[in-house]
Parts: sequence; structure tokens; C-alpha cells
Amino acid sequence: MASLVTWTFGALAALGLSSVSGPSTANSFVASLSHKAEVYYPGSEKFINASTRWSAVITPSFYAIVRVASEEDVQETVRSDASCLSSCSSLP
Amino acid sequence: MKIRYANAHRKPFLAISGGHGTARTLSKVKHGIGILLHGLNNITIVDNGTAALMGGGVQTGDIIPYLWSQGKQTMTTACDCTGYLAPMLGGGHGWLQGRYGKATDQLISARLILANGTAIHVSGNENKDLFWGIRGAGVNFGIVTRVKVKIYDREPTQDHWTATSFIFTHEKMEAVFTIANEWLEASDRPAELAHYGIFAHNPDVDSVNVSNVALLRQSQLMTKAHCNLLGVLSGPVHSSAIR
Repeated sequence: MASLVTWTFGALAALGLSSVSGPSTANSFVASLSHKAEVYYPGSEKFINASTRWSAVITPSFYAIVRVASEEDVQETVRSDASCLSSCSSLP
Repeated sequence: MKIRYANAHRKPFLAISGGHGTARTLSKVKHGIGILLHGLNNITIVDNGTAALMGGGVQTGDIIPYLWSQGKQTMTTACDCTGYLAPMLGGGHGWLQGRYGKATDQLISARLILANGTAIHVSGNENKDLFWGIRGAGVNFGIVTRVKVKIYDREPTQDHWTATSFIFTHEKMEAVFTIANEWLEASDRPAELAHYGIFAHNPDVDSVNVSNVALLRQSQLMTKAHCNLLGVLSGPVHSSAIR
């Protein structure tokens, strides 16, 4: 768990984020979502709950999970802005 | 429900309506972005009670009691705890299929977010090819944020129903399915008759092989024939009935 937390905060530092989840981060992607949307990152309880599947045999893995609250949130997530969530460690 | 959108960073997306999908390809989503749809959970009855609008993250266990309370029902999959949309877009077997067809047959229209983020309306009149495609292969074409589906008046005779379950050891599987298929294909088959076969490993029943749970359901009372035939196999390790 310690390594997960380290990774999470390292990644967030690269993005300039100040909190683990919720709409209060300065990230432009998160800011583009509706106020009820949330972004869950590895290491948080919400991330674990959202990524736990009915079958333990099925094992997708995620950099982040976006809990959308509107159709527009889905559109924003699918558009390229979301890539900053998954490639933050390689940002220039 | 999933979409794999190769963006500039070639990262996969996986939409999550319930998290029960067991397709092995889901495990190929590595370092992806999950899109959890549970917040899109509205259910609204429209069109004089003949249809309902449902959000892409609504759960089957939300739909059944809500519609029931309004004197309505529709064809959903069987378990409360699954998402409604993903199994529906793949076809969708369930208890009421003998009466209404599969879950996907209830689809009137859908809002579909394509891989480039465009939202489109899909129905028998608009984007007809996609409307055909999403009814069975829907998870491959985009993320469905809302659907309009057919709903039906609940009939008083449906207030009573029967379910009976049998557990058989694996050597009876072919015989069980042969009988169940004969019943379901019979011209005089009750519309409410359903067979829900489950393969499970239960060490109390068989420590090595999987066993088969045959769950049968009807409205009103189960006919004696539909109880006895499985008994003729003289082998259910366990049977139970709920009325």
C-alpha cells in the first residue's frame, strides 16, 4: 500500500494536483467536468470500490476512474483531455 | 459496457455500468481510464406509461421495484445487482423473456457517445445501422448514456410466481439441459417458464467437478410436470421451491 500511495502522490505532484479526488483540483480535465463528477485514484477507498468486479478472474486495471454525473462528463472523459490522467508521469 | 478508444496515448477506456461482465477481453484493459456510470441513474416513465427513460448507470435492482410500484414492468436480466445497460446491449436474458423477448428487444432509442466524444441519437429512424448494431453488440460502438425502453402494465396474475431450484452433479448436466431445452422449445410451453442454468463449484456437493444448479420459474404455480421431470432424473442433490 505504501508504494501505491507514493505513486499516487508522485503522479499528482506531476500534475500539480492538490487533492486525491473530487472537483476541487486545479487540473483542467477535472475542471471540465460537472460539479457532481468525481475522479478516483489508486489508493483511495472509492477507487477500490469502483474497480472491484464481481468476478475476481476479470482484471482490468486503471490509472483513474471517473465517476461521471452527466452525458457531458462522458464526452469530456472520452476526449483527449482525459489522456493527461493516464500519461501524467510522462508529461514534459 | 466498454469502449476502447485509442487516443493519442493509446489508453483504453472501460465504461462500468455494474462491474459484472466476465468477457475475458475486459482483462486486456491495462492502465486504462474507468468511466463509472452509476451517477446516471434516473428512471422516468414517459409516453403515457408505455416507455421509460433510463440513465446509463441504472441498476437492475433499481428498475424492477420502481416500475413495479408504478404498476409496470419491463424485461431486465435476472439479478438485482448487475447494471442494466451492459447486459441489455449484449442481448439480455431474464425471467420475463418468454413474454416480452430479450432485454435488447425493448430498446426504442439510445444516446450514444462515440469514441471521438460526439453524442448521437440512435433509433429506428436515426443512425439505423448503429441501432441495429448496438442491440447485441452495443458495448463495441460507444458508451450509452441514456435509453428509452418499452415498459408494460403489470398484470394481476403476475403477483404470484413460483421458483424451484435443483442442484445436480456434473454427470447429469446433459440430461438436465436436454429436458430444459425440450420444455422451452415446446409449442405449448408456458410463456412464463424460464430455465436458469448455473455452473458452480460447490465442494459440499462435489469436491472436484462443477455442479449444475437448475433454477426454474413460472408465474402462478409450477405445473407438476415441470417439477417431476427433473425428479425423474433421480439425482438432484438438493431441491427447493419458493412460492
